[in-house]
Amino acid sequence: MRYTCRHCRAELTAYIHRQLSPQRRQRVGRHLNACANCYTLYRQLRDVDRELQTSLPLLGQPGRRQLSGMWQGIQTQISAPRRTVPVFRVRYGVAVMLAVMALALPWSFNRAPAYALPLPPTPVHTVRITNAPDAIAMATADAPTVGFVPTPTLEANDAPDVSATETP
Amino acid sequence: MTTDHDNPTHECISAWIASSLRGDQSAYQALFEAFAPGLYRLCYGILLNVDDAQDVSQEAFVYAFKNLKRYDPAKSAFKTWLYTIAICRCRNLYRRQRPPLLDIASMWGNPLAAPHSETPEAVYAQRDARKRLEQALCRLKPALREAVVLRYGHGLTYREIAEVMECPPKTAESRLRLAHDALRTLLEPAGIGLLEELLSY
Repeated sequence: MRYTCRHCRAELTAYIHRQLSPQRRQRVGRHLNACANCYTLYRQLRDVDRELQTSLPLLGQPGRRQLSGMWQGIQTQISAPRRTVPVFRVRYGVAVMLAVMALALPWSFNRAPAYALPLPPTPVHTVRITNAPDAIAMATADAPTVGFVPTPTLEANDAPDVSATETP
Repeated sequence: MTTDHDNPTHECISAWIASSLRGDQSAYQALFEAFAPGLYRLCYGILLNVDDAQDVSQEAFVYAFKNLKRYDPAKSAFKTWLYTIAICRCRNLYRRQRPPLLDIASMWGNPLAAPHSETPEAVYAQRDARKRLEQALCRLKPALREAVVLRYGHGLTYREIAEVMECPPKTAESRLRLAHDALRTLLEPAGIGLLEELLSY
């Protein structure tokens, strides 16, 4: 694979930081000797590197007073006893939770199931009214006393029949 | 505060840790004196705020001292472990404080003019080189800033940076490359005078 400027630029920082293997280092060096653009970029990056190496360690130097304050704060915190949850409290909590669950168990068994949506209509036993007109006519004609209600003969059918719409 | 613990050896650190675990207060103090300045600088470099840096450094030390039993010397150096704690605390802080910013102008392809305080003229006019550097760092993404501070502020290798930032070494390398390239652009107006101004302080 041909070693291009793109490859070289990707390795320039590591080259400056001396973090490349000798083989890769040689390859970058050869390219820098041959390519003026990459060499210019290398010099710019090297200057920035030198600046940062000198300036960054000076950034944020703590004063003695700051360090003393920090140490006092640390001492206070590490000498403070740790706040731990007592074991007996946890045990009581677990016992109470188990007792509540045990009490709630029979109640949850007897509960009617709750549904979010209404159930679809279930098919019911259909009935066939036999001789209905005759029976009604007979009842209206021969009713001997007040309060007598003629009842038509009903025949139960186990098989659901959608066409029969009469429900008991 | 004494400063005779600037470069403690591994044996020294191990001895302090062992004494601290036995409850020796002076060993805690020795650990603090050895690592506090570096840790504070790290926090300040990332947060760029004195109070926040102080709070986070203190929190990191308290956490480290309370969890000293968990430290495993076989896995990492004490400094790396401490820095990992501090970086996590810094991340928590700037996640809490700063909502994610959306650059609407760049989304519409219509960059707005820089405010007066950020124009090249104003940057040139500022004499304080430290401020300039802070501004440049401030404009970096937090992950890039962390990588830069760990590399240049503390001289960590790529592998150590990856360990502290809890990312693969290749990611650490690419973050450093992006940060380095961004700083080249950001520090360009300051020119070579930045270094001289800083050294004069």
